Amino acid sequence: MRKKISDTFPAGIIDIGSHSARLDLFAAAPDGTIRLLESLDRPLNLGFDVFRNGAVSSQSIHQLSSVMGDFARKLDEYGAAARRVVATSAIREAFNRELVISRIRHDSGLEIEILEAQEEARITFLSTREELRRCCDFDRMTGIAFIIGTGSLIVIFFENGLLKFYESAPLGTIRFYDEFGRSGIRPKEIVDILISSAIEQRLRECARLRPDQPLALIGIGAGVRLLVRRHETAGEQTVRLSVDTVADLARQAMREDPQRLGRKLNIPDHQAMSLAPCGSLISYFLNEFNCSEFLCPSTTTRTALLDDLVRRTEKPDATPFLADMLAAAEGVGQKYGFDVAHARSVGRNALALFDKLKRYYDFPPRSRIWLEIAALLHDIGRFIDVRQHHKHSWYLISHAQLPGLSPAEQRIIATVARYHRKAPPKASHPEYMALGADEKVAVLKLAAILRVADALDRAHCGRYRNLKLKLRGDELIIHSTAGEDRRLEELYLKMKSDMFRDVFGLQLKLEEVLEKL
Amino acid sequence: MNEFIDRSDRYISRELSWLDFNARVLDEAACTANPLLERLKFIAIFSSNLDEFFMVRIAGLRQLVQLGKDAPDPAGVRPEEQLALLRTRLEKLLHRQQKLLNSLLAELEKQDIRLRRPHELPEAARKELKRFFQVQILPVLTPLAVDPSHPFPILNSGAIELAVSMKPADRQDTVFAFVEVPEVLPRFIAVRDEQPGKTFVLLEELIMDNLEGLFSGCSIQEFFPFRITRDMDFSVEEEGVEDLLAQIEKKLLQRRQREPIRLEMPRSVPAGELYNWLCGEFQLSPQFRYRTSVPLHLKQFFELAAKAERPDLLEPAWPPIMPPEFAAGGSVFDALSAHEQILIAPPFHAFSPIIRLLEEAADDPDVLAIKQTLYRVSGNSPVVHALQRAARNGKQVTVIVELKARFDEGNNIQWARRLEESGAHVVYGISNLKIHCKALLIVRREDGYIRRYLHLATGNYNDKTAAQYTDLGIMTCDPDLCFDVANLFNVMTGYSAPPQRWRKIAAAPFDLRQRVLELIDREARLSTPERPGRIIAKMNSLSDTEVIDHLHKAAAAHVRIDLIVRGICCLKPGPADGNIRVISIVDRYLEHSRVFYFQNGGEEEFYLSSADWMYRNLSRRIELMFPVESPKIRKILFDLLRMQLKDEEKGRRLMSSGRYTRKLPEHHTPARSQAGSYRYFRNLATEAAGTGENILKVFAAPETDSPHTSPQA
Repeated sequence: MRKKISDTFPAGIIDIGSHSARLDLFAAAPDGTIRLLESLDRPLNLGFDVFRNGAVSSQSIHQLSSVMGDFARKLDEYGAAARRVVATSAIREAFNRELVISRIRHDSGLEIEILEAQEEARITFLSTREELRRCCDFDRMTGIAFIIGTGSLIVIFFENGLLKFYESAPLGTIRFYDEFGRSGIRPKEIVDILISSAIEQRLRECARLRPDQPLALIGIGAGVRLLVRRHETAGEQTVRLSVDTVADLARQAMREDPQRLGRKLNIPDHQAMSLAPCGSLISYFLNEFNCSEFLCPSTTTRTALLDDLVRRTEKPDATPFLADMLAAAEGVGQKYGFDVAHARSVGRNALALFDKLKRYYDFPPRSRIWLEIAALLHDIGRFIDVRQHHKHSWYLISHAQLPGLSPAEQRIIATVARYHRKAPPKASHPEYMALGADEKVAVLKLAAILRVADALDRAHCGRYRNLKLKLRGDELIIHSTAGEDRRLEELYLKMKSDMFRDVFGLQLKLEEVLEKL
Repeated sequence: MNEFIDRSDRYISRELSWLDFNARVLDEAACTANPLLERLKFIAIFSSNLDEFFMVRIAGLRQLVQLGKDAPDPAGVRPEEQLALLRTRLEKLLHRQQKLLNSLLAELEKQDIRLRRPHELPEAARKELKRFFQVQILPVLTPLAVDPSHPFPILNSGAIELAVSMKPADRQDTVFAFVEVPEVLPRFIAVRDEQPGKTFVLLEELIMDNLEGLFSGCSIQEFFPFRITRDMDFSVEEEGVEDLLAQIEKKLLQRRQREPIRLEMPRSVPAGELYNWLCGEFQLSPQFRYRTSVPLHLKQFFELAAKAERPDLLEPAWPPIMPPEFAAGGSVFDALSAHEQILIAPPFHAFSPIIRLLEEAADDPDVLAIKQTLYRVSGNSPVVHALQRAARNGKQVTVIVELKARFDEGNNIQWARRLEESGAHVVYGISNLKIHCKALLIVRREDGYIRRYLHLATGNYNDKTAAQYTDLGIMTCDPDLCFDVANLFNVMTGYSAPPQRWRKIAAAPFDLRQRVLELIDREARLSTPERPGRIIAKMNSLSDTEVIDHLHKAAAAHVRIDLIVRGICCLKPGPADGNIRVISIVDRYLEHSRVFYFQNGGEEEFYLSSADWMYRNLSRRIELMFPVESPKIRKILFDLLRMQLKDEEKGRRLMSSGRYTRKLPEHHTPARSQAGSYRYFRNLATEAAGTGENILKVFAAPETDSPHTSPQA
């Protein structure tokens, strides 16, 4: 049910990063706008522990617990109804993350949720897109967005305003210092690390980025924002700069002593440390890609989480990321050389079947998008070998970067694709047996549909473009145009409809209809 | 040598400048336009100021000399030279004070207010006094003998002591003893002597008249009153905030043992055995010994002004005016919701809306939280009572208590403890940073939405000083100011690091200094000979050398600068600095507000602040400067500044010689800015009540400048 905005607010959003914990408290105004009430920032040194030793030290847990206690009191002060406490890097990389979560739950009553990189990419991209749509024609824009935190780097490729590919790397503005020591790293080395991490190569291979393709470069993160703060204009959230201007800023950040530059920009020393790494990062992208302009939105993890909270409150059924999920799935498909026409045709057929069936059968809430992605990617296992390709598809989908999906959802999608051909699930299939009961049912239903949809495009010619379906008794009639040769589809339908019949109790039948004149 | 000349051209020695300020206070005692008892009060203020000056500044200078730290101050004067200069100036000032007091006492006598010694009284009156002594005073006195078994006692700083030498009947040698004149007893004792008006005897005179009763069996040889002042310039060596409270309590105890910095005694005391013994015990160089021809501890003459009960010899009362926005009564929350910003200007305005706001908040079920800074709060403060009640009512009460407010620690610790017991979250300041900003933030839930109410001011939440100090504050719901101040509270409570930037305020020790310098520099940048820039800055003290340098530079860029600096002003307007004008206003109320005006090429900006332009305020304290954006209030601020700049009666001008002009008019004039300010606020209130129309109509009078007209012109 849609909730009133005043029921959700005041709300507090806590972001536990590698080097600080931040709390933003928001309230709704009677006119519906959301206002920031307070913004708290406490330095922590989780990154130092995790990036060196793999776990959060007991001293840091104690410190974090004290900070969370203060933050919990602050939430109480405003009677904050909603609260979201997320941990990004370093806790998400920490070996003892469950212990940290349990300890904080016990000490402060706050429930920490690990924000995985793909979710961080999704919500940050969504917020950024909303902001950029207000200042430019973002839906026709193609480019690279990078989100640089103190302990992690996420690189996103977007095409015509849709997120198509993302990748996270264990690099961060302060992480460099943690790993190399305060005086041990120079901007040039940061650029070398970026080059060696092969981001550019991955973008070309995975996102099919052409070498000379003109791209917009979007820099997201507190450090980047500090670097460009002199160019902020009143009333504008986004800082928009020419490539030359941002290149100058980046060079200055790389060249100058961080503390001196910090003083010039009126930034405290600990924040000034992030300027050189951000400058290096910008410099790297400008050198490696054909960037045409630079944008720095005001997005932070907390504003992204806030937007997410508002979306969930105001429009719980909206799916603003759906197109991106499909674009990213197609990106994965492209990477493995899939037959895009066949994939899309199977997708269309599957959705037509799904939409017909969902009137009569129960499906989990997000199963339509699971089915669509499974349909798009069901054949990618062919990249490895045609034989047993359904099993290769399962593996590749299980480990693909598919933003907007939880790990459980990704498992379901991979298993649906795994059963698009050959034997139905058996007790001897560990990938199936590892699923929960509801997940198994979802897989059976969706895989049954996928098999039929795949059979209908057996000829890989997209013949059944606008599937017409009719339920008659215990028969599902699929109408085909008169005079067409449908022997191949009939044959495969016969072979692959067993599961459909078992799951839904329906017989499938192809019937010829006369086209209306 | 050149360096010395360069420096003294631009700067004035801080301590000498302070002494000049106190000289202006003394001028008020000399000014016959002031009623007699008001003049007497200025004598008391002069002494009270001087006590603090000795305890802190002179003691500090002596410490520098003792440590061999010989570096000159920005004006080029070395500590030892400063001490010598101060002694010379002080002698002159004290001589003047004594002459003035004697003439004031003579004039009071004409008004039937007399000060008598016991032996000058009729026998009957003297006997009655003796009875009074035995019943009321004797039980409180504790004589302390000094002999081999009783070492020299630790004498309290600031109290009048009686030194007595005597010979006990059973001994040959002289015994020395002390009697402290208790501060808990009244200093002025009224005597019924059959004369019209009132006759008073000083407490120490009465005790001295009855010394035999204290030392029975002894033959008293010599006795005289004296007073020592001790060095109190302590710095708390904090290790962590947790033990700050304990440390201060410890320091309070230690305070009794600090080194003496001044010994005062009557000029009439002969250099006999008792005198020589006492000076020998204190080992205080003659530089720090003072003789006087009038009573000691003149701060206590406030008591006489009150006990005289002669309103005709005091300034007519200026009853505080209710700010028009609150005149209708009703809820302060409602008044604040109906107005964008409300100016509260005590003591012209009543302080009560602030107390009402707190009291309403304490009982209002919709109020979630109250946060407040408390610096110097009066003993039985209604502010503390309201906060206690709020905490007991389950509100989240956060109070930032500054324990390092000089001389007030004992008072602060008591009520801080009381607040904690009520359930308030009491935070005892930040290590090494004195919290000096004044802010009150109330969080309220209204119809499901959060609304915050803010009060920011230049003065403390002290209902007593609010009746004597001129301060300016605003009440507002401005979300940006609320955001900034809420974040500043988080910094003060240790909940958060300072934000990267503030939306509207500037705060020390973070960006206030830089912001002040930027504002001055911007004025210089925008200034041309044809269209000069303009700065009006009103504060208590100006001593920060960096700010002074930037002001000099701005003046060189044709910016016309008016500084209204009540106390210390280390900026010297050199002969070439025609663009800098410095005035100081000393009047019945203590000028205390900090107001800053920048012309900004026509986009004028007004700021109020808790901070003076001193190094300690800009770098060593938590301070706040906030813009005033309401056109109505900006207009009022400008009019107030204009009145002050035109104050030909109480405004003294600092000349390029480094000395101030002296003004001793025989009658008050219409130029007196405090009287003008009071009339101004009264008119505003009357106009608002009378017509119910926009109070801005008041300013339509032709003699009033528009904000765009230069007040100096």
